Amino acid sequence: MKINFVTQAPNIPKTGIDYFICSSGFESRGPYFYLLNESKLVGSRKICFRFPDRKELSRPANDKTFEEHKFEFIDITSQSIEDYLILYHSLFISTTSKVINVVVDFSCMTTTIYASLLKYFFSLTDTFIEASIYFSYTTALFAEPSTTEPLVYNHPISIFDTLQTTDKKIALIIGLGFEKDRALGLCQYFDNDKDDIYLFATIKTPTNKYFDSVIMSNQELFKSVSPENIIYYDLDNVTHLISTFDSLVNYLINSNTRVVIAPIGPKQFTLVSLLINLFHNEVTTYRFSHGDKGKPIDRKADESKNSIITHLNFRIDQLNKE
Amino acid sequence: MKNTSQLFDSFNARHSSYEEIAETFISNEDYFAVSKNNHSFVLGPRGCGKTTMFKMLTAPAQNWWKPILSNEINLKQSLPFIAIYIPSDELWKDQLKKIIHPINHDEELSAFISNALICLNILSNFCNGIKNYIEVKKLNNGSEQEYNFCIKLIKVWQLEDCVASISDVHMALNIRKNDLLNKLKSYILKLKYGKVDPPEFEDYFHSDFLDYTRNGIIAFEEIYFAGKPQKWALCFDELELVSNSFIQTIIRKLRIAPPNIVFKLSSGPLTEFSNHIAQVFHDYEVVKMWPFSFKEEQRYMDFCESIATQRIHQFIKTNKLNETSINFKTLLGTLDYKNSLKKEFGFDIDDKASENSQNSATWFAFKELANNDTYFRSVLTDKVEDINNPFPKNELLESTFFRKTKEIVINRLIFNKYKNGEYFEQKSKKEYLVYYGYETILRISEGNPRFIINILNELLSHQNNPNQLVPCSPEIQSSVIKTVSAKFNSMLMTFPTSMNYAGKDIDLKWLINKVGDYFENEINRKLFRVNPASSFTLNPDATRSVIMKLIHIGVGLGAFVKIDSTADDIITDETTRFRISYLLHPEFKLPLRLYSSVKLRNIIDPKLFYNRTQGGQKRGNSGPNLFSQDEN
Repeated sequence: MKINFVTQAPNIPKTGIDYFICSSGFESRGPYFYLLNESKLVGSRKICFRFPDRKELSRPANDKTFEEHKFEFIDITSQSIEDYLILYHSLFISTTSKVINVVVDFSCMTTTIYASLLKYFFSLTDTFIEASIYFSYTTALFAEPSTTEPLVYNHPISIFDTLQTTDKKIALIIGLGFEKDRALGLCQYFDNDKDDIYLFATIKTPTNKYFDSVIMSNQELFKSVSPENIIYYDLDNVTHLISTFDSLVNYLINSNTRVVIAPIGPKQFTLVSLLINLFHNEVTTYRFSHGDKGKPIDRKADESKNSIITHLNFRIDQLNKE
Repeated sequence: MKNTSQLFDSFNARHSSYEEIAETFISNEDYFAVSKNNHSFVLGPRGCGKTTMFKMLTAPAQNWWKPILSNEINLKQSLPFIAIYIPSDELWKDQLKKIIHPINHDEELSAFISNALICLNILSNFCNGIKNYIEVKKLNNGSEQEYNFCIKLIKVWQLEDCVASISDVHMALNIRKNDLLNKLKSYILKLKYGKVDPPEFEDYFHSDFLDYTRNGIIAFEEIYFAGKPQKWALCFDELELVSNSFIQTIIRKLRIAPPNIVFKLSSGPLTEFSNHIAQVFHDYEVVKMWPFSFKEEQRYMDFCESIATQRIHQFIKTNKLNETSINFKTLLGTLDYKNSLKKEFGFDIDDKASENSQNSATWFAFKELANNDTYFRSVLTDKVEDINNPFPKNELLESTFFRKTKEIVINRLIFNKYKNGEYFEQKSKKEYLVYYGYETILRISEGNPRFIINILNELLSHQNNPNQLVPCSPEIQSSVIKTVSAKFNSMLMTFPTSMNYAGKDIDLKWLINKVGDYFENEINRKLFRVNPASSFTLNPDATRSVIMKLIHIGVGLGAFVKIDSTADDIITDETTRFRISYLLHPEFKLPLRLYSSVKLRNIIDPKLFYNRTQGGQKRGNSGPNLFSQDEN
C-alpha cells in the first residue's frame, strides 16, 4: 500500500475503530489513553501485547486493568520484525471489510512492535484498499534520567534493505535523549565527520523539563556540532516535525550521502523517524535499546497534556493494481 | 581566538576532501613503507592515520600534495602504482549482518550472499576510484574514451541495460545489488512457510571480486594506456568491519594475485593471522601504527610533535599572530615536579639541590609520603637511615628504588588524602599538576594524530593574547588534559558494545573501569610496590571469548594498547601484554609509565572485584560481588 497522507489528529474517531492495540508494561501510563477514550473503543477488538518479564512496578496493576476491560493478551518474546509481520497477518486477516481503522497506543511499546506494524501495512498489496492507523502517544511526567546503561540492541531496523555502497559518506541524524553522552558514543560508533551530524532536540518551553536535561547530558556534542545542524522541535507539533525532518532527509539524499537515523529520545520522534523511512526507503533507522536490562522507571502520564495522535493513512496503489 | 576546540575537530580522514587531507599531511616511516610496490597489512587503532595514509596513495590526494622533503618529492614522482581506495564502516557491517542473519543456518548461502555483496561494493568503489583518476589526470578527452572503456566494462562485468558511462555502470551495479537482495528477501519469506529450495543466482554473482577487478583494470589499460599494463594497489580500509572470513579470503589471494596488483589492507591491531594461508612477512609486510614498544614510543612522539608544530603554525596564521620563536616545546615547557610540589604542599625546595639529596623535590616528596602513608613508610624504612631525612643509603638503592618509585610517590601525594597513616579518599581538584609538559602531552597522544590534534586544539583555545602565542601554564595544560581524558572516556563508555558475560550484561565501559580501577588501586592505594601492575596479560582458560571481543573493540578504539616486543610480533596469546591508553591515565590517576603485568583473571575475577564509585563513596580493598544486587 502507498502512504496517502500523514497528519496530526486532535483525537481518534468516535466510532469505527476496528482494533485497539497497546502493550502492558511497568509504566503506569500504560492504560491511560485507553481509559480516557474507552467510550470510542466499545466495538473495537482490543489487543494487549505483554512481555513475559518486567513484571515490576505498575505491571501487575496494568495487567489487571486490561483484563478487566476484556483485552486479548498476546504474550510476545520476539525481537524480530518478521515474526511480528506474521502475527499481524494472523490478527488482521479475519477482518472482512476492505477498509480498516486501527488505534495503536505505542507509549509503552518497543520500537520493533510499531516498526513492524508500519512495515506490515506498507507491504500489503490487496488485503485492504485503505488502512488508517492512529498512533497515540502519552507524554510522561518528567523523571530524572538514570545512569547510562549498556546497549543490548544496536542494529538497523529492517523496514527496507537499504544496503548502499561505502563510497558514499554517512550523514547521522540523532534524535537526542537525556541519557548522558549516549549520543557521543554513537558518533564515535559511526565515526563520521562533525559536519555530517544533525541533532534533533525538543524545544525549550515552560513545561518542557526535558530540555535542560537533554542539553546537560549532551554538552560535548552541542559544543562540537555546528549550530546550523541542530534542530529544535516541538514534540506536540508532529506535522512540523515531519516536514522539517523530511526536508533535511531529502537534502541529504540529494547530496549523495547514506542517511542514518538514530532515535534515542522520545518515542514520538522514533515514530516520525520510521515514517520518514517509509517515505525514503534508502534511509536506515537504527534501534538502540537496553532491552530488558535497563532499570525500570515508572513513568506516569502527564495529564496536563493531550496525547499526541499521528494519523497515517494507507491506500492501495491503484496504478499497480490496474 | 579562531580555533575549534571541540572533541570532533579531530581530522577524520574518512570523508574529508583529498585537498584537505593532502594539505595537512605529514609523512612518516609508515607511509614510505606502505608506498612500496608490495602487499602491505597496516594495523592500528582508530585515528592513527591508516585512512589518511591510504587516501594519500590515491591520485587525487597526490595531485594536491605539495611535498617539501626530498624523499617525499621522490615518492610523489615515482609512486609505483595507481591506488583504488575501498572503505568499510560500521553501517555497512551492521547492514550486512542484518541481511545475512535469517540465513545464518545455511553456511554456504550466507557466504555466497556475503561475498556477492562485498564484491559489488568493491566494484562500486573501483568505479569511483577510476572516475577520480580520470578527472585528476585529465584523461577525459571528450567522452569517447570513457564510452569505450565502459563498453568493455559492461561486457566483462556482464551488466545489462546499461548506458556506457561510469556513473551508469555504478547505477547498474546498484540495480544488480537490489536484484540480489530482492531474490534473497523472497526466499526468506517463503522459508517462513515451509521448506523451499535456495534460489538460483545468475552466474555473474558467482565470480570472484579479484577477477572482476582485474578485468576492469585490463579494460581501463586498453583504453587509457593503449594496453600497456600498469601497477595497481587495491587499498582495503578497516577490514575488521567486513568479516574475518573476508580477511582470510584476501590473505589467500596475496599469493595468487596478478603481479601488477598489490593489496594494501588495514585493520585493527588484534587482527588474526593464519600462517598456513600465507606466510606473514614473506607474502606481505606488516606495518604497525601505534607505539607498541619503547623504541616506537619515541618515533611516534616525534611524529606527533610534527603534527603539533604544523597545527601551531596554522593557528598563528589563522589568527594573524606575530611570528615568534615559540615552538611546541617552549609552548608547553617541561614537566617539573618541583613546581607541582611547591604549589601543592608549600615545600621549601632548594632548586639547586640534586635529585634525592636533602631539600630536593624528591626528598620532600619521600618524606611527606612516609609521614602519611604507612605502606610506604614500611618500605622506605629499609632503604634509608632516617625516614625524616630520606636520601638513599647507596647508589644502588638510588637507581633501583628512588628513581623507579619517584613517580608513584608523587602520584600518591598528588591524588590521595590520608588519615591516620592510611589512604582516606581522593583529592578532588580541577587540575592535577602531574600532567603537563611537552613530553607528557606527546606520550599521552600515543602516536595518534586524532589525540594530539584534540589536545592541541583544546590548549590553543586558551590562548588570549591577540598579538602572539604565549607559553601555556602547567595549570591550563593539566586542566585540559583532565578534560580531554574525561571526554575520551565518555565516548568509550557509551560506544555500543553490550555483551553477556557470566549472566551479566557488560560492555567496554565495564571492562575499562575494571582494569582502570584495578591499576589505580595497585599504584595509588594498596601496599606500596616498586613495580606495581599497570598492564595485563590474557589467560586462555579463564578469558572468555566475550571478554576478548571487548578487548578487540577497546584496542581498536585506542582504549587499550597492545605491547609487542618487536615489529614482527603479530600474534595475540597469553603472553601478550596490554595497557590502558595513556590518554586514559589521567582519568584513572595513573603515572605515564609502564610497570609490571598481571593476569586479566585477577582483574575481572569476582572475588577481586573493585567497584568504580559514584559521587564520593569510599573505596576500600573489597567491594560488592560482581553479581550482587548492589552493584552499579
